[in-house]
Amino acid sequence: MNDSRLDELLNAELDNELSTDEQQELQQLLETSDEAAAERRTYMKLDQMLRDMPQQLLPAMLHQRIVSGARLPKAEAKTRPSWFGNLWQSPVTRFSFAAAAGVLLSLAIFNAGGPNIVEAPSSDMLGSMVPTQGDSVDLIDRLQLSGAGFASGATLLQQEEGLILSIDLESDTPVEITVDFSNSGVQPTSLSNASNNFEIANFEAPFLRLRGNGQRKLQLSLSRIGDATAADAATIQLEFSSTGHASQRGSLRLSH
Amino acid sequence: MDKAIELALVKRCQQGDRKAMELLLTDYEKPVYNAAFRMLGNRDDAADVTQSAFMKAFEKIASFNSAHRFFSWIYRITMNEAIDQLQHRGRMQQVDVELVDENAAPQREVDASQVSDEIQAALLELNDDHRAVIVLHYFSDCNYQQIAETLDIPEKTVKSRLFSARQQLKLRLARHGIFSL
Repeated sequence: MNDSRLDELLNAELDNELSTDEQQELQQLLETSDEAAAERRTYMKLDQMLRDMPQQLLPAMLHQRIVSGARLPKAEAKTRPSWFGNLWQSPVTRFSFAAAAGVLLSLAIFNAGGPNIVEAPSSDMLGSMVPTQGDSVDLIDRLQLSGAGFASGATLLQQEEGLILSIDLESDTPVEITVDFSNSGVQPTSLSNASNNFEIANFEAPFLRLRGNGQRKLQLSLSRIGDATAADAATIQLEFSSTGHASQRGSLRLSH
Repeated sequence: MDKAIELALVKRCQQGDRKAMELLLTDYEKPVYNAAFRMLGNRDDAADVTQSAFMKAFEKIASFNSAHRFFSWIYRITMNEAIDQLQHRGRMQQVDVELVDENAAPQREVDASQVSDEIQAALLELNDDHRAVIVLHYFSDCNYQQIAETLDIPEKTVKSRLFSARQQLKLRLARHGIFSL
């Protein structure tokens, strides 16, 4: 056994690329050679040090510099009857639009036990996006919120199967999220992406409560309840249980 | 970001929707900036590269191939921009690459900030190809397949570059006394 082979095995171990045979080969080496064990500790330490490197904060104004300077292809002229008329040809779309008629999804982030709820600046609420025909997935609206130690996004999608609400979270501390569907005319029917789901997901109408930290993601299928056309609002609230940071509130809106 | 959401946003951008553009930007600007910073070791240069990369991506969004991921595309543009920036500098700031000192410095006590600085300095001593795989793997959380797609190289090459880069980092950090060999 040479050093090169040992390095190769140790690198493969770091990347979870060891085969069963290689695992046994490495294990034998580690048990019989103090040098091999020391080398392994060195690689592990290097790997951890790289992972522990601090994230750099985005420079002030960089976002605005990019937004103000970026150019997109010229927008296509669109008229409401065109997309609406075409979309309306699909029974799935017809049903989904009926279910979601007038739905307003509000998303709020606030501290546990803290009355300090602050409206997010309107510039953070990027507004509604009207579905267009031809896409397998239509983005209806998306809201992104961020604060000290967390970033969260909520997206309302129209898919063939119906309405989907996708929630993703990245947080340094445990976060509790309450999704409020009061008066929305829709409610969650199933969760997906369970492999990286929140630690707790509990639905007691009209509230869905989630808890997690780190990187979390889930998708909710939404179904119609009651008289959707009479409903005009739904609220999603995200509650932070252990941090004392200022809170934010925004909304997702579907209109037609 | 979920692939379906990302694709829907790209399609909106292709239709000229600036709201979708801003949403994509918001999701990716921080990791892209961090990747640029680790490639360049300079905040101002990283900001310039980030800005340039996004502006090019959005300007050319119509040519985006939806078979790929947007993040792979923006990282590839960023890496190319960063390497161009380094070449533009004429590598004047590159630390002189010495042969590995067989008599590595004794391990010394250093705080987290010093370790971070030492690692960044060691990163800058790597060649661009090796630094790119380390940056994408450790600072952009890309797996082999994603790095391969971003850099347009085979996964086998990703693996070998990562292997070589770690070896070099290990030796250089030992030389600086961060840990013993």
